[in-house]
Amino acid sequence: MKVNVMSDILKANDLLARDIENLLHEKNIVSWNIMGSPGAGKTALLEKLIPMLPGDVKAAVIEGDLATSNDAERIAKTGVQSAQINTNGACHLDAAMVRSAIETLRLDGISLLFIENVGNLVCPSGFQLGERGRIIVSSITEGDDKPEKYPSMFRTADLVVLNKMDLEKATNFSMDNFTRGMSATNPDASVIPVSAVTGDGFDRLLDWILQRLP
Amino acid sequence: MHELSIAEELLQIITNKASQVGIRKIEQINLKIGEFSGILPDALIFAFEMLSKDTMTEGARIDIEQSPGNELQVLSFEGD
Repeated sequence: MKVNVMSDILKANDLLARDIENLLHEKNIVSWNIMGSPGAGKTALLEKLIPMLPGDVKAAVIEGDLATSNDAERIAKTGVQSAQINTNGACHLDAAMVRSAIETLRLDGISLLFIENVGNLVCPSGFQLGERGRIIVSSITEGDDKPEKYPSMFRTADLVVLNKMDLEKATNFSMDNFTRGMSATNPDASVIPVSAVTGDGFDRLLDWILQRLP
Repeated sequence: MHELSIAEELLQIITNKASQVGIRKIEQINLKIGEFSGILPDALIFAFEMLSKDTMTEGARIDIEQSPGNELQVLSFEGD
């Protein structure tokens, strides 16, 4: 006997993500799934950006890592609420993990939720977390060919933040190559070059984030 | 990289559906896997075969239709 199923294998995750999306929408919270390689500067970006937010824009952060609470502790120093998820080896966050983390946060008055995914340029792309959109942090020391090498990740991004621009002279990174890769992979995404060390480019990044608040 | 957890979901979907329609032994499974799903078909088949030992899907043949998007779907299965 043949049985038709026609079911998404990640349907359970997608349904849960939809619940999270509805919850955040009801509370007027804009959420961003922050993705990128280990060491690209995802946490550093948040450490720099959060203190720049206007007083009436309150943020919260969910940190996803295989192990340790190092990143949540770094974020806590900026004065915002943070929740740490340890995936215990899993290579990505899923909606169930994010929902548990959200339950530990006080959401009243929050208007921005950053969900920092596990450092990985492959697996997180397949898992919806109920986010409004996706921000990839890519650093120039990783090379200029990443959009073409990791298309499943880069094609889902709304914004690519190109970090470590302060190291440009020390690398052979070509902005032309990177831009060409982005045009081929995801021409609609914005690209903002920054340095989380010097703060260059963060004005543009802040504008981009604030323009997307309700 | 996470083919094993995908294989677990897959096994659960098939087992649930099979028990609903009264099937006890699965012979063949049809999947659709997108180029951008991040899932390697061979690794998924390997993980699924490992999990299938001593279950109704043990020995089932897996046929994969490749597609250009993010698809990761169970299309159908056959069994008795």
